[in-house]
Parts: sequence; structure tokens; C-alpha cells
Amino acid sequence: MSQEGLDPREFLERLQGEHRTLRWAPLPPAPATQRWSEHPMTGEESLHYLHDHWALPDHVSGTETGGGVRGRIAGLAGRLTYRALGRYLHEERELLAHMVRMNEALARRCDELARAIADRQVADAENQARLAAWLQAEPPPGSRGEPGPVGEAVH
Amino acid sequence: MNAGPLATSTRAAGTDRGPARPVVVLLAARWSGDAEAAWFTRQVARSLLRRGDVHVVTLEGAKPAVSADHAVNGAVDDGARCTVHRLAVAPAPRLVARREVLLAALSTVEARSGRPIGPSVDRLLREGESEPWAAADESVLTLRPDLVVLAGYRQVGAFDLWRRVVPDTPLVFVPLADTHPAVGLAHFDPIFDRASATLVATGSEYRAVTELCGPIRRDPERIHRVGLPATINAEVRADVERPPSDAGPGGGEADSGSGVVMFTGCGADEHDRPVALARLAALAFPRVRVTVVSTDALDVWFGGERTRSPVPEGASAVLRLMGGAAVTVDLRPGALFARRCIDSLLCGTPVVVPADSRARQHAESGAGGLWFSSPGELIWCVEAMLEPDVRRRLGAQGKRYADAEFASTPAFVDRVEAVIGRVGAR
Repeated sequence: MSQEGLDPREFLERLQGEHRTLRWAPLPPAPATQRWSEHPMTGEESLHYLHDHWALPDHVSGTETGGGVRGRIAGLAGRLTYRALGRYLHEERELLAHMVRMNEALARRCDELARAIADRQVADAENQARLAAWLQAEPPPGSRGEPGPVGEAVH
Repeated sequence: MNAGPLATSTRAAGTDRGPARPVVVLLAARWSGDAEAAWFTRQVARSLLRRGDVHVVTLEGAKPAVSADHAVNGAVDDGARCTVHRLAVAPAPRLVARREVLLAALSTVEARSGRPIGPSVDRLLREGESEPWAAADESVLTLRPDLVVLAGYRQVGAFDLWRRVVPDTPLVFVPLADTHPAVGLAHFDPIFDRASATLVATGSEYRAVTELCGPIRRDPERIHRVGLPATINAEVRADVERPPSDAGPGGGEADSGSGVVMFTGCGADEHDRPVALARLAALAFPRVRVTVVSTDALDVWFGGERTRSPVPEGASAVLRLMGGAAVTVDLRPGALFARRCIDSLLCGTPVVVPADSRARQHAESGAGGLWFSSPGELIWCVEAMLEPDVRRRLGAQGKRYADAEFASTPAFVDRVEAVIGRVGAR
């Protein structure tokens, strides 16, 4: 650490010099937000697939087992199996239904959040631009020789 | 004439206690409170106790009353007494408002011209000035003061009282010249002209009065800079003089007290520029702990989040806040001598202040900080102060300056005493 004295006036001049060229540009909305709006989660193919295929078969149809003795035996075995597992399969269907609904809700919420983030970024940029313009419009307090705060507390 | 609350002669009291002590009458519109002007007036009174018994005549009070000021009396132990005479007279608000408007208007065009103000305007300015003080006429006469001290350059009414009642008594003037350019109006010249000595606190007040006030410009020998007795208590000093942490300014467990402390001088949610500037700094430095002290709340900004709590009570708590910070930003420094900045420098913490405020003297002459003229400069200055090397060097320089200029009460008392001695108070 340097122990030499620091002249604040010279230091300020150097600071002002360094900042004389303003390299400022508004921050563009994050690229991800555009991608999110172009490809909403509710448009995902997988979500459509889930909606179309969440209901799994809960019985054996005659067309699947075919005819003949072999078909009848297969149908009988199938019916027995579904009858034995019926309660489980019903619960599983309910579970799948809720999972699909949950996925749908999450997809909707994702899209809402993406829109909210994009809107917020735009509003933030506007707000900061207005603040900067307002602050720059007049000098800071105390720099106009205006009446000082006579009642200003010591602490 | 109404004898007023000063009727009790303190000469009699002095006789009771032995040889009569010299009597000093101090005329001050405001005596109590935390405002810098009132605080400085009390420090002057404390110094005057060395010279004799002090009788403060103030417009303050709910009803006329006379009482000892134990806070001031407690500072001395040689039997001198400070008695406060509260007149409980409030100037008419309508006249005060009109006077303020007139002074603001005149200040923009006349303050540096030295031209006398037209008689009609002068009459308007004077209207209602003398009446509140007239209640003390006979009482001041009864006190037969050896010295009159007038605090506040706007107290034309108090000056009239002196001129009317005890014009042969030496007058010492404490103008309490804040940053308002009205001090340069010819309307106030007679006070500077008639006072045997003028006491100012700081170098910037000295410069303002010397540059703006005709009588002082012509005879600068009559103005004396007495400084301030701005000591901080030993316990706080010991706390804030611990070796600085090497951790960064971001805060956290290892360096919880560092960061930026900003004072807005107004309410936390007021639509005022200091509030906006403080929020701008909080936005600009999201990874630095920015503590914003307002009159009604203390907000700590860190990581984009704000935590609000009550303002800590007592001067020590505020001193500790400043002492532990990397930099103190005073967005609305006191208009008389910027006491907060002096305290910060005494704690070894550099300051960032508005360029045209009284605090700039501390940053520039004291080499204890930086000053800004625009919001952009404010951000650059704070950014620069977050560099450990910059803040340590400016902090050390500022502390040396504040210690030398303001940290000695005996030196302040000696300077006031020397001036009083020179004007020939009996």
C-alpha cells in the first residue's frame, strides 16, 4: 500500500478524465427471454404427447387377443390380470393424470415467468433511463447555493 | 415596558456569591436542539463561561421562563453559571415566510453587489423583526452586561435590541453564516459593521463571510476563525480505531461493518434528490453493502435486496456506523460546518460530498475525501473510494486534518477567550 499523500483535486481530475468518454448503452433484454417467447413451454411436443397418452389401457379388448382357443385363453388371462391389478392400475391412472396436469401448470407458469421477466427488463430499463435523465437535469443538492437545511441535525 | 423573564438581576446573584462576575448576554433565536447553529451557539456559550456568567436570551419556549442550563453548566466547574431566558415569542409566520421569499429573491441579484437595499424593501424585511425581542429590553438593561454576543446574522431584531438598550456594550457577532448567499446582503451589513469581533467556525464560513460581507471585506482583521470542539467520545474512538480489516468492501461475516454509509438528510421515502441518489448508488453497487441513513429509517441494500430498520439512537451509534464504513457519503451536509463529515474524518473514514456544500472544505482542504457535481461523479467517487489504497490514504489525511482543526475543546475555548479578551470585555 502506498503511504504517499493523495491530492484529492488531482485525483478527481484524473477520475473525470477517465470517465470523459461515456461508453454506455442500454442493456438489451437477455437473449434467453426472446427464445422463451418464441418457444413457449405450452407448445412442447412432449407436453402434447403426455396429454394424448396419459390414459393407459385398463382392460383387454377382443381385437387385441384375437380369436380361437389361444385368443380366448389370452383374453381370460388378460381379464384376470386386469381384475387382479385393477385397483393399482386405477391409482396409477390417477397419478399419471395429476402428473400431466402438473406439467401443464408448470409449463404455463414458465411461460408466464418468461413474459414477466421480459416485461420487467423493459420496465427496469425505462425506469433507469428516466432516473438518469431526472438526476442529470439538475445539479445535486447543495450545488446551487440553495438555502441550506437550516434545521439540519448534527447527527 | 414589559420587564420580561430577564427581570431577575444576576448582578444581585453575583453579589451573593462574592465579587460580581462579569455578565455576558448571548442573544440567540434558537438555543436547544441538534441543529448545527444551535449546537455551535451552545459551544460558544460554554467558552464564555470562562469570562463570566452567561445569560442566554432566546425566542424559544412554550412560556416565558428562566432556568439554569445544566448541560452547559456541567462543562465548567469554576462557579460560572449559564442561565437561559426563554421569551417564548414566535415571529409571525406570515412575516417570516415573506422575509424568506424576499431574501431568496434578493440573494439571486444583490448578494454580491454591495448595493444598499431600497428603503421600501428594507422596511418590508424589517417588519416584525424587532417586536419579538422587545420583550427583553428592560431585562437586558437590568442585567447591565459587560459583553453582548449576538448569534445568527438574520437576527436583525436582536441587533436592534442591542442598539436600543446597551449600545455602548461591546458586541461580539457569531453570524452562523450557512450556505445561503443572503449573508452578503447589505441589509445585514450594520451588524458586521458595529460588532467589535466576528466569530466563525470553519475556513469555508470564514471565506464566505470575507468574500460576501462588505464591512468584513474592508476590514478582515475583525473576523476570527475559532474552529469547533468536535470531539468524539473515547469509547467510540477506541472502537473505530481498530486496525482496518483486509476484507473487501462487500460486507459479510469477516468484514460486516465495511461498505458505504450514505446520509440523505430527509425521510426514507420522500420524493427528494438525496433519496434518489442513494438508491442510484445502491443500484450501481449491488455487491457492496450500502447503508442509507435517513431521518426516519435505516436501509441496508445488499445483493439487490433492502432491509429496513429504525435509525439507531444516539450519536455513538451513528459514529460507529461511519467508523466501520469504507466511505461516508453525505448527500445533504449541514449547511454551517457539515458536522457529520467532521465526525467521519475523526473516525478515519473519508467522505464524498456535494461540490458546493460546506463539507467540500473538509474533503478538499483537509484532503479527506472527494466531491461531486453530478450523479455520475457521485458514482465514480464512491467507486474510487472502494479501492482500499485510495480510502486508506484519504482517510488518514482527513483524520490528521480533523484532529488538528476540530478535535480539541481546550483549543476552541482558548480561541474564543482570546477574541473576547481582545474586544475588551470588562
